[in-house]
Amino acid sequence: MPGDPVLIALHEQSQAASAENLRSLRAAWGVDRSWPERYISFIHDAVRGDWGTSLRTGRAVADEFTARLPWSLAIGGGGLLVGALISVPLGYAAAYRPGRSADIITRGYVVFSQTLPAFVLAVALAWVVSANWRLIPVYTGIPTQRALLPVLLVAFYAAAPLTRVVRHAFLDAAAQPFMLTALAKGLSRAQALRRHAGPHALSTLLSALVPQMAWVIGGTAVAEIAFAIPGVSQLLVESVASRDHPVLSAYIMGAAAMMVTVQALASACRNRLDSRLVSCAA
Amino acid sequence: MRRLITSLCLAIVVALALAGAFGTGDPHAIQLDQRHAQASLAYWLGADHLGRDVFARLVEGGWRALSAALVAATLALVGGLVLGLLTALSPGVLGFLATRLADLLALIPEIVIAILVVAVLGPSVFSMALSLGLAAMGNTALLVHGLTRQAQREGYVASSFALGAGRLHIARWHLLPAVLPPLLTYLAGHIGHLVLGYSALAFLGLGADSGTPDWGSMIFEYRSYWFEDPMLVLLPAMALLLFSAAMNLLVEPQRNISPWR
Repeated sequence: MPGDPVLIALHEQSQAASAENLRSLRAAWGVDRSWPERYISFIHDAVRGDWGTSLRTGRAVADEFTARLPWSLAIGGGGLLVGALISVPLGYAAAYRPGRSADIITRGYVVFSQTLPAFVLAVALAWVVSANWRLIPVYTGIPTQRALLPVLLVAFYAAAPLTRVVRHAFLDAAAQPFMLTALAKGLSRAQALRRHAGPHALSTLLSALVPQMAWVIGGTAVAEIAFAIPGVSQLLVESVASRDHPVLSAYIMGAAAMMVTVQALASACRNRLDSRLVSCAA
Repeated sequence: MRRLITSLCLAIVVALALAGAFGTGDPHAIQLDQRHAQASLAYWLGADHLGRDVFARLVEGGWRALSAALVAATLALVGGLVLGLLTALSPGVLGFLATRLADLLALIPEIVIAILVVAVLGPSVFSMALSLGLAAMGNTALLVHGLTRQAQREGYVASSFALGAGRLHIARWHLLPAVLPPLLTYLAGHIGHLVLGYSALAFLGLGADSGTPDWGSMIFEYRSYWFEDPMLVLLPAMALLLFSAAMNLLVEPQRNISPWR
């Protein structure tokens, strides 16, 4: 395997990579066993709450993560939540009069967000807002001040595709026959859209949130690195550099478990909103 | 107007490609007496904090990002086709496994795949291309699955089946020609995203090592010189912006047509 963690560690401690040193460190870290053996013992320990110790720092992996998780959860979760909240009124405004100003502006917003990568905007924001204008101390402020720009950044990028999803869902529902009935009953366009197309738009938004989560996990990493937030991503980049396998395995397992949980939660929420889905599944 | 912008962007991209092909300055040569040099004939876009030619670095980084994106797109094309056709055509255990694998690849975030690949293969440009390709493979497979199911309902597939054609023959001669054109269009539109994805991974430090210039790692490296020399950050950012704008304009998405007006 290229990038042997044992070799890297010995090199960092300026020790000779002698056969004896290699053998003792391999035995201490348990990397001398075959990979199926290591995998089984990793799973065996992990389900009992023992995630092993970091090869780089020597601290328990669980401790390393719990110290950093609040930052990442606040930025990722907060960003996704704010993004979803922004996308509903924007998508509604775009669907209310397709092809008019609100529609054109939100379309421009989506194209902009797809053209300008998040990390470029992050670097620009960090310097312009914090260094040039001195509005918010990005690198030195209290936690709320430091997390504000990253949350807004993730929200800005998470909301853009969701805006189009919401708009599309509103237009889909608007083309249904029940909307004509609603208009014939004397509801205004706005009332009809909100009352009769709203649930459909929310349900579609919920299912779009899951793939968006995948982007948010990467976007959070970019925001953390760009704003120098001591979150999980920083730990991750350092661990990749030193091939800190226990930390990396724990992260991959954790992220996969989170995605599966979120998927299950989202489909449960969708079933509550739309009873037709349950009867289809049954 | 749109055509003008598109051809302008294309002209710049072609010019950059030619400049890369015919050689520019050395992107790695360090000239400490040329630190933060202004743009000149010798340094088309000036020099960075170590006196390295920014234009040569941009061209080299652009080439690498583009080749990584092309490798990733090819991986996604081949893998997505195989997985998608398997999920649609093979009813047994193989199809089940292919469906689960496609779902998993579509669900797992790009960065998690990248870290997994880097942990196994070590950080390199190929690792990044492989992870971007794997991440794109899931969605490609789902697209192929849908397109195949749609094509299977066509009359010509039924008549070919009635004539006694085997499943492989139908897949090769009737399903593939129906699936390939929309799939290639999708992947062509995806190249821009792949280049942006590669740059983001390079920004995070997962790309090639720090000596090799990538647009993402250049922005990361140069951001501490914002006050002395903002152009160092702005130039790679503009290169990225120009590239993805050109890609977005080249592949214009279809406008939705709805009776609600």
